[in-house]
Amino acid sequence: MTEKEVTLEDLRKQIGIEGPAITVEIEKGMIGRFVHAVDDPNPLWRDEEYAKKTKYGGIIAPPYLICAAMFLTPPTDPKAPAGYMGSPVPNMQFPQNVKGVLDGGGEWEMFKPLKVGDVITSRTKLANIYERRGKMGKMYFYVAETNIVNQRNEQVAKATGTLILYA
Amino acid sequence: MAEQVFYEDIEVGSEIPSLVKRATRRQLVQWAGASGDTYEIHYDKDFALASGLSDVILHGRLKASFLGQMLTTWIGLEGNLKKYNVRYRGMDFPDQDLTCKGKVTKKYVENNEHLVELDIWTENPQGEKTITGSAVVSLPAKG
Repeated sequence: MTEKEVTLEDLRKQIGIEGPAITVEIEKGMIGRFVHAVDDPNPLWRDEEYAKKTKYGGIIAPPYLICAAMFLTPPTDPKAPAGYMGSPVPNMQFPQNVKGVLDGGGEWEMFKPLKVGDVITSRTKLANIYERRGKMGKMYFYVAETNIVNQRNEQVAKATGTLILYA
Repeated sequence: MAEQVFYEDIEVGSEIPSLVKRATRRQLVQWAGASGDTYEIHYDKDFALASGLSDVILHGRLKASFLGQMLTTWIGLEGNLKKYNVRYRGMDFPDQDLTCKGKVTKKYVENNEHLVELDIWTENPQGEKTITGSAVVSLPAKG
């Protein structure tokens, strides 16, 4: 089967497409598993008695929790084939002959602390797609912007991530 | 926790306390579960080898979190991590020391906030920078 060549123009038609809203409740157990995985002993994320006496009045999530993939993509289907990675917007179109995918980097901006009991909703849109030529051939950069609000619709954080696809 | 650091204590050009992390394979699985990033390249060695790597590699966002740990430890209870960014420049492998570092590049007051900007990076055992980035934090002032 011969496929029609996918041009950069075609790919760029996806700019502005928004993914589904992802809602996550900030729970003590979730924070605990997260900081345990990072191995961060800071009692502000772990010890209720300690955290109660701080200006926060209780355990908060570390601001870098915003790095977690759960705010970018819904949980991956356990039956999805090996190598499957969730994409922030549905049916995202990739360039042809992709040889590899790398996380190029990210930027995270935090406006409010994430408190236990907060229900936060993130929405991600494709903000830009561009092409560069590198040592390994063609590289496509997919820039995704995620906006995160809490249950009062206050913006709590903003994230920008760059996915690099080698073709 | 360490003593609170204040805006007045900070000198442009000085380094903040570094943080050495040595991620285990178990930790990569724990991170995969906690963060939702279940890409096999981070815990399935066969998959990593088939992808042309010599071993499983650390999640970029785990390394970014290590930098977040360094920053939040340093700024203490009264500081706020406002913003940071990273560029992933090299892969890192489990069971190796990864050193998180930061250096103050600027300090200024804006909208009554005492802000400090830093360059942040991670170094592998060969001394190569595998992440470079920058951060903005606010600190309490003594005055």
